[in-house]
Amino acid sequence: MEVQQLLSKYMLEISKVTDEKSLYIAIAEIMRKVVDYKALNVIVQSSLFYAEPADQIINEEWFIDYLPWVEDRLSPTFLPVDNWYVGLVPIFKGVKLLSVIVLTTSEEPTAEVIDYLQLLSYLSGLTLENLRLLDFVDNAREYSETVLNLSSDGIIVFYKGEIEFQNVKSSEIIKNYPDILREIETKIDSNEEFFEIELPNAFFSMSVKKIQLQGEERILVTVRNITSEKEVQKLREVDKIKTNFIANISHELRTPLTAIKAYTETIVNVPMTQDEIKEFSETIYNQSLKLEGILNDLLDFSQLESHTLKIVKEPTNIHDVINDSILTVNHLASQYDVKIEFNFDQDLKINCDRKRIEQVITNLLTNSIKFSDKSKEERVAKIAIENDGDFVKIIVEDNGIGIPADKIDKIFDKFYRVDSDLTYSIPGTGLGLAIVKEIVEMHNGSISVESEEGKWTRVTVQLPNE
Amino acid sequence: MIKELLDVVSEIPTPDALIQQIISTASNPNTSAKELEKVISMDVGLSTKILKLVNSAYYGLPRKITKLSEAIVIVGFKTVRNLALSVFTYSALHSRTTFIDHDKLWSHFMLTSILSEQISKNIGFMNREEVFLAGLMHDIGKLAIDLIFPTYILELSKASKELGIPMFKIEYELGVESHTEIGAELLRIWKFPQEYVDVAYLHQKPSLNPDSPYIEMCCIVHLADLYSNILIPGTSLSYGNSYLDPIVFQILGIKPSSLKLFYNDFGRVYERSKDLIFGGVESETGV
Repeated sequence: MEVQQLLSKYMLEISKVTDEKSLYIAIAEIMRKVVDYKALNVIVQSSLFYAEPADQIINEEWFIDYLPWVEDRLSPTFLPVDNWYVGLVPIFKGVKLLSVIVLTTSEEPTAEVIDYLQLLSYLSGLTLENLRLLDFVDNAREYSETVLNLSSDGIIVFYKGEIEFQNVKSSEIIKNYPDILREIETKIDSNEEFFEIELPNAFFSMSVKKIQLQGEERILVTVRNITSEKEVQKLREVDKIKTNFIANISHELRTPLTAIKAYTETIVNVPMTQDEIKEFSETIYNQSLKLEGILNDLLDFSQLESHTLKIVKEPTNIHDVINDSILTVNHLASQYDVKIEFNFDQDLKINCDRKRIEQVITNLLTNSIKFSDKSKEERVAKIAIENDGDFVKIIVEDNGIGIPADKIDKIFDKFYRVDSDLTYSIPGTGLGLAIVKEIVEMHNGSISVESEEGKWTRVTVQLPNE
Repeated sequence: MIKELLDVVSEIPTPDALIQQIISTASNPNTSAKELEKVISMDVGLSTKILKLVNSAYYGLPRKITKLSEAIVIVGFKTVRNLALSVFTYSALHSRTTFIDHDKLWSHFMLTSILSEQISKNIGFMNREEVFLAGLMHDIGKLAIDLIFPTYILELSKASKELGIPMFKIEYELGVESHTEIGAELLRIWKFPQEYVDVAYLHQKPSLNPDSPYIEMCCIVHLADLYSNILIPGTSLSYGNSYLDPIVFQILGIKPSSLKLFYNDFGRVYERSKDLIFGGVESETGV
């Protein structure tokens, strides 16, 4: 056989090889062209790896003492045994033995056979080493790919503004929330590393990091869907608020009740003058009104929760409504020493539920009074009306304690009080503004609030001019 | 000048018909072990000498080999051929008594061929047996000079020792025909294949002809020669710091740090092959 033929045979057989086993099948096939062997065994790390024919195991005793010698010498050798030969062909790369092919033949090996086997052992060593490397690299790649794809975080690598890599989770996120890509792009330029973004119905926490990979700058983005964490957080907050609310409302109910009980007890048990009885009865009456107010709030709130709150619209003079509200809060205003200013004498009629709008204004005024700033010399609550044709704006402005900027968007939430802790420094159920908002919205209106903490608060109720 | 004499001076031994036949038989791809055994057996002494070498510690065979045909299939045709040529080289070296120590020169030849084979193995160069033979023959020019002008080589060696300059450099500076040229010429006359001629010619400085088709072999023997001079200094008749041709790194694909690793390895190889290097082949004829 010519060396060219041997090499073409080798190339042909090797091209079919996919793993170590198939490599040995190929080598066995090629070797048959070089030596007419009876049996061929492949020994990898002292144990039999492959045999051709399958049941032909060559007796180890014939060659075992030569294995270390072959490993050291790295040349093919033939050991005469009776009238035939045991051939040992080391497969190696560099000076590292990868395996030994053992074969038996009755043919006496020629110089050419040994030369060809030497050539095969070099070539197969290279192929085997490459196969093992490939296998190693494949396993390593599969491992890291699996880890990346099983991660519950989305991982994306951007290169020159394009997505170069993304794991399964990130494809999922991008598919469900396409807007997130735009958010990421704006963050890439911002040099921020960690941030959270809010999309409709979903929250994400994200990190954007510039990395050096393969000598060039890339951007590594990790995205985590934290919607459920956020929901749990919200639920916890609501739960806390409700607990506070119950404690708060019990306190609110108990205070007037205690007063009524004490005053009534005194009237019943202690001989008193008519004037004294009158004075006591007035207090009892005021406390009953307060109690009624709280119970009304609760009733409204339960209607609000069950969506059974109804409004009845009728043409209403807004001027009269405001005056009535001022009358209602007058007593409270003098108690807190708050001056109420109202300068509007036009007759302006809008179509609304008179009782409910009065409730709204009363509530807003009450807040202005309750949250007035004792440290200020002059405490004022101003009420104004603006009419721009389509809408009527009722503006309640005060120079009270104001609302901290981070709390301002929460004040219309149910149960919410800025001083949420149970300090009771200012009485209230925390339901008022939630009810107010609901009423205004049922009128197709809107309510907004502006404030500067420690300085002033301005609440604007906008109602359609019908 | 010396070159012209090579062919006519009768003191220079030529490989006899038997050696020539061994070379051609071992190189014939279709030769069987029996055929090669038959050729070698024509000289009974040669067979026993070869068997003695095969069974030496350097080859480290697990079982003693008693038949030449076994030796041929176990260590290979070319190794047996190399051993036959070693026997010839040994006897050529010892054919006459001159002013220099032929045992020393022999040990340099042998260690260089052994290390050439080891370097080939370490870097994955396949034609190890050819490199062994090239290593054995690389300094054959020194043998020729010694046989033609024994006093001249003695003076060269003395000068090298006293000045601490390698013999090759002295030859170069004197502008005389160097042992590399003479060795190459002798191998040509002996009808050795071109690779051995190239190695003999270039082994001191392979970069003299980087285009040689056998540049890898030249570089391997160049390195082996250098290690041999470090391990057993002075045996090559040359002294001083050996020249390391930087071309070896590029041609053999090794790093300077590999040289240290090789050195550690070669210390062991040297220990194992002492009986080959110093034992000679002539001293004992029995197996």
